[in-house]
Amino acid sequence: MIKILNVTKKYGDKKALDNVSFEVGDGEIFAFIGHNGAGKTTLIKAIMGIHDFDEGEILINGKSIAKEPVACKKEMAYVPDNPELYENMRAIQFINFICDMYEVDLEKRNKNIKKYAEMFEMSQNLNDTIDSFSHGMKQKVALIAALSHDPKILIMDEPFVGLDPKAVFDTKEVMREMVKNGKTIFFSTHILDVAEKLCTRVAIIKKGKIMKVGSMKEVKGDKSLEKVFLELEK
Amino acid sequence: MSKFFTLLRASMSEGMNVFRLHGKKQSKWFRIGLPILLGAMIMFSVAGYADMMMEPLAEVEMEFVVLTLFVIISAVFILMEGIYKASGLLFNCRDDDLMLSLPVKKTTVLAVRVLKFYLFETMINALILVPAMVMYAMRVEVGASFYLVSLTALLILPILPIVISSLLGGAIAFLSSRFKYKNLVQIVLTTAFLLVIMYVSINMKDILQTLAQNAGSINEIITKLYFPAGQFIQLVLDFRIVDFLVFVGVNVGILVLMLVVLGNVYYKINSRVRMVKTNTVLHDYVIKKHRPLVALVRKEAGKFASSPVFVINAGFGLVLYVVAVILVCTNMDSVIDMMAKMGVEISAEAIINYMPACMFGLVFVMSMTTSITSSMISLEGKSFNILKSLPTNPVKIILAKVLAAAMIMIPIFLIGDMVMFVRFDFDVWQMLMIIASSVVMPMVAELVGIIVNLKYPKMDAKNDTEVVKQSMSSMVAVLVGLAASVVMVYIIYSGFNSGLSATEVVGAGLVFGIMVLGLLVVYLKKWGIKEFNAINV
Repeated sequence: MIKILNVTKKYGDKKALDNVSFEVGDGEIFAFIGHNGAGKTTLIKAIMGIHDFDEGEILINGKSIAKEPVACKKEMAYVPDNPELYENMRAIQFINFICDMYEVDLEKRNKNIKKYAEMFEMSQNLNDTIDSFSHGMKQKVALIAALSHDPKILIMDEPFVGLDPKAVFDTKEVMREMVKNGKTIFFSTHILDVAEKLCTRVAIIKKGKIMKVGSMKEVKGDKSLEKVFLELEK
Repeated sequence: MSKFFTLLRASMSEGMNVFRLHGKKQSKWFRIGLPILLGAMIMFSVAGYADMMMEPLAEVEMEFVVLTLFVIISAVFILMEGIYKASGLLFNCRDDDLMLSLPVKKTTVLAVRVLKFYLFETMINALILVPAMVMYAMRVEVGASFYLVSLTALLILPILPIVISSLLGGAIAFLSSRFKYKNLVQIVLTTAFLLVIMYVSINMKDILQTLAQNAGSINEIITKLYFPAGQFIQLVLDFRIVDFLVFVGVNVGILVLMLVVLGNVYYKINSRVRMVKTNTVLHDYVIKKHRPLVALVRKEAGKFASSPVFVINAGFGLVLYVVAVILVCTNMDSVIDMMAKMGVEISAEAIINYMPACMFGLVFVMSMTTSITSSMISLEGKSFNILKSLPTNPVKIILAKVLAAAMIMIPIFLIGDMVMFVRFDFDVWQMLMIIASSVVMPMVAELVGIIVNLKYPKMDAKNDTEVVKQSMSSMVAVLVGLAASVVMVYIIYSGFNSGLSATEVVGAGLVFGIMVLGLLVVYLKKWGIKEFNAINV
């Protein structure tokens, strides 16, 4: 469970996040949508403990990210919006490095790496250096690394950008499988159709403020998510 | 032409902003004041040195020799720096895709990059030459032409070293791109070129003797040695408009010629350098488990080994250390000769008696001037977010960087220690203290480096060279290292003069080093984490 309580983040005088509050429960796929520069990545980085925030509190399964960052991060996995990975490493080295940091045992990491590398059709590329990869392949490496330690909470910043259609389909399947097992998925996206079909709950952010939050039905009513989003943007 | 200047402006605003601190608010005073202060410190030192050298030469009215000397020092410095800077600044740029997609001529992109390289080196050239020129103008009665020639020379003199280093850098990049392990080949070739330049510089005495035997005047010697210096001195001593135009024309002509020649093959070289070889055969992979700290250290060591400019920058000091140890062990006379030239009269017996203290000093100086960690945070670039998202304490991440850097240095120092122990007589205590110093001092130097880098990160560099050679952090670390080295050498020398034994000096130095190490660890734990968390990419 993720609890975001009155979080405010300022860049100088500008509020990137303005008193943001909502919750993401266990077994939920939660979509976080908003226009470019609305504050999506800022909030995701705050949840992950990458950026600090000025006011409020973020709780990860009851623990504060500000006070117990290591314990919180152990429960989460992060897929960044721009997969700036360690270019000098081979894909397998990077994934193994992430597993080392999450102290994943050998059996589990072997099983998971094999499973997700095959799913994303990357088995043949694991020995190549990351700098030889396309954007989509780097995104797949980031996804495999994030999934290989079997996180309780998966945080993704625009995970579908650059992925081929099969990889998008597989990612959605993985997300569904994870929530079936009671895990939490929080991701930002601009692909509203995917959000509408895939997610149980959604939040719309505009200029750092949460405009709407709730179940998909509560937020969009009888309209399409796209229509609701565009109306809020006016 | 407007496109050229638009590109140049964009390029300059990115790469030349050495003193802009990433994500931190800076006052105007800091942004303007700090570079002025650092520049003034360097120029003041050079001016003092130039004045001291001119003193005896004034008696024979040959002050211009000092100008020549500083022109050559500047040229050698730019050449050595330029060889490995060129491979990064011209051939390994992260903005290649953007630049190549723009509707501009290929030579324009090359010209912009060369000009950016040139402007940076011109600033370094000015730091060395302006003080020498000022001291010359204060001592010798100069006319208006001197100022014209001097100002022109500040812009013209860096051209030839830049042209040579760009061509050598291009050749190294091209040759190494033909091999599977191109980074390794690039490191070996660059180090080989640098050692050749160093060898030539050290043996300048013999070269000068040969030139003197075959030249009619001092100016002819200078011209034969390095023709732009000869042209410059000729104009300082006897200004003629034709010579002045030749001076400008020849040097600018060389630059244009280089742009034309390199322009024709630039994209061939660049595409080869950027080509990444993939493993099409090897599909089996090995998964091993490591503890988080070990995994972090391995990651840092891998990053270090993958960046030729990083390896050469750090490794060259270590190569010099090995050379110094070999020199001391095999050719004590040359060491005594070298020290005499520096004004330190000391006998071989005294050096041998004081060897533990000298050894301690050497390890200290080499540690402090080889700052690997001062680039390690900046080199993370945007992948810094991955580090920050990991479930580990930032102290561990920082410690891993320090350990990786120390692990590169410590084995070389320990090998040097063993060689010295075999060659000279050390007692057990001295040996233990020297070994301890070889572990403690690199740790101190690398902790200083990482603290400086946390304070002055550069997370948006276009290539590794900008971080390793042209960032605020690397410059501050070098200056701190040099200042600490000067102080330590002075302390050791004072200890020697005041009759302290070598064991006492090493003991005191080691205790001081351990205390500083402790203070740095406390600082890092208390404030380093805050600095780490404050870096937002």
